Amino acid sequence: MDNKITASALAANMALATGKSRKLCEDFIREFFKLAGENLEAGENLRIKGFGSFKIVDVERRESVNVNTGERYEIAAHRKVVFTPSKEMAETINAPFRDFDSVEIDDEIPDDVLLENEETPLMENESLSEEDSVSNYRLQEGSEEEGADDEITAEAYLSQSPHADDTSPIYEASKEPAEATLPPGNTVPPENPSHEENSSPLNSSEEEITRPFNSSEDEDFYEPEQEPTRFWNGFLIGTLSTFAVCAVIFMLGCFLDWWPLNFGDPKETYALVENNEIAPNPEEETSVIQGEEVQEPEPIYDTVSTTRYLTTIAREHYGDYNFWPYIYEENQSILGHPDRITPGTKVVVPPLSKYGVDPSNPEDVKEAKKKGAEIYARFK
Amino acid sequence: MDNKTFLDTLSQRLDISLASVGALLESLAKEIADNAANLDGVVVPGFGSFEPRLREERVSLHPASGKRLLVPPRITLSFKQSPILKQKINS
Repeated sequence: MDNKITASALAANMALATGKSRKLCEDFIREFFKLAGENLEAGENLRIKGFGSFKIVDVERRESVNVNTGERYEIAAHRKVVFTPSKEMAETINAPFRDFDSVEIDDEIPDDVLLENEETPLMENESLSEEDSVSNYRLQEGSEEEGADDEITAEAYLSQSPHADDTSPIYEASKEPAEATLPPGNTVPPENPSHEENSSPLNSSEEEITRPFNSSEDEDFYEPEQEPTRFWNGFLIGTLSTFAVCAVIFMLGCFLDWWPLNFGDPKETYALVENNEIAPNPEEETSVIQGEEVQEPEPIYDTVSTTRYLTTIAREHYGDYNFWPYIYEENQSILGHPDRITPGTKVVVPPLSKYGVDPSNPEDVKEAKKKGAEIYARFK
Repeated sequence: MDNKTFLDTLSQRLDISLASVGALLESLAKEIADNAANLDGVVVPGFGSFEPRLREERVSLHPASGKRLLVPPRITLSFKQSPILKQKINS
């Protein structure tokens, strides 16, 4: 095994097998390969029945790296001889494994049992624990997002049309105190006498309320005049009032049909008016809305490298490497052959819910494998 | 040069019959193949070496049906040209 047999040893064996003289066999071997060499030298391909064919193949120039020094150097374009054994010879060579055949594997057998050589890339991945934890975190994030789907849709709905939704609550909120201030003079005193003492500060604050809401120049004009301590107090109250405004907006959203009823409740409107007195509302409002936008589900990105393939990414994000075709499909426009992706390519990792598949479902795993085979078939 | 011319030329040079050439050729192919089956390579000076390669068994997907196949190991014969032959065909 793994020995090198010389031509003379070969000739000895041939002499035994054919019964011819050893010298003739040696001559034959020498002449045989000499003639073949002459043929190839002339640039001709050679096909010998029962033996095989020698073919001359052009090799394009390419760059290579010296393993010891790391220097790059160029291998010039050249020609080389390729040998293909004949069918009979190939069969004789493969005699030890002649009786074996390709066998279909039952789908129930897990891959881990079969693919022992798959262990090595897996170990490589585990050494990249940092990346792993990051992607796990992403995975968790993804599952949370999926789990809290209802919330997301509601928030997404809000953030999708921030301006449309934004202006209307503000408009309503600004309208509310303005309208609320009017009725207390007429309707509230007879109905709720206990709140009468509130109506006077309310009326006095009416001017201040309307101004910040309607014109921002007035607010700029007021703020510099305030003392630092009052400014911080104002800031505190401002944040508190933002929460209150958020709550009111939320309630308005929920009870949009009822809102005239709510507006009739003086307690709420007073609270709103009092809180709004010093609130730097326009700024706070935008910050709240930005916060909502951040919670929108972001597309997850990952990068292909020399040690991270689509299968690695699929295993990390989906828990099953068989689901790589979905990542491939998502990024089809930037990818070519799935085995020849340039390292450093950034790919979008779509949530599997987009394709309606589940890694724990054996049917879906089958489907993913079929998809993978289809992708490979495209490059045949 | 086709197969017939090749064998004719050989028989002329060695001054033996075509039948003997055929027998020797068959024997040569069998010897190389038998050695390769034992994972032994054959070296021919000035021409190159025939080296058997053992391909391990592996699991692959059937391209059409998507079924998993267990492909058995097999031995293939690869040819490595000698530097002399390389020089000759590139000159």
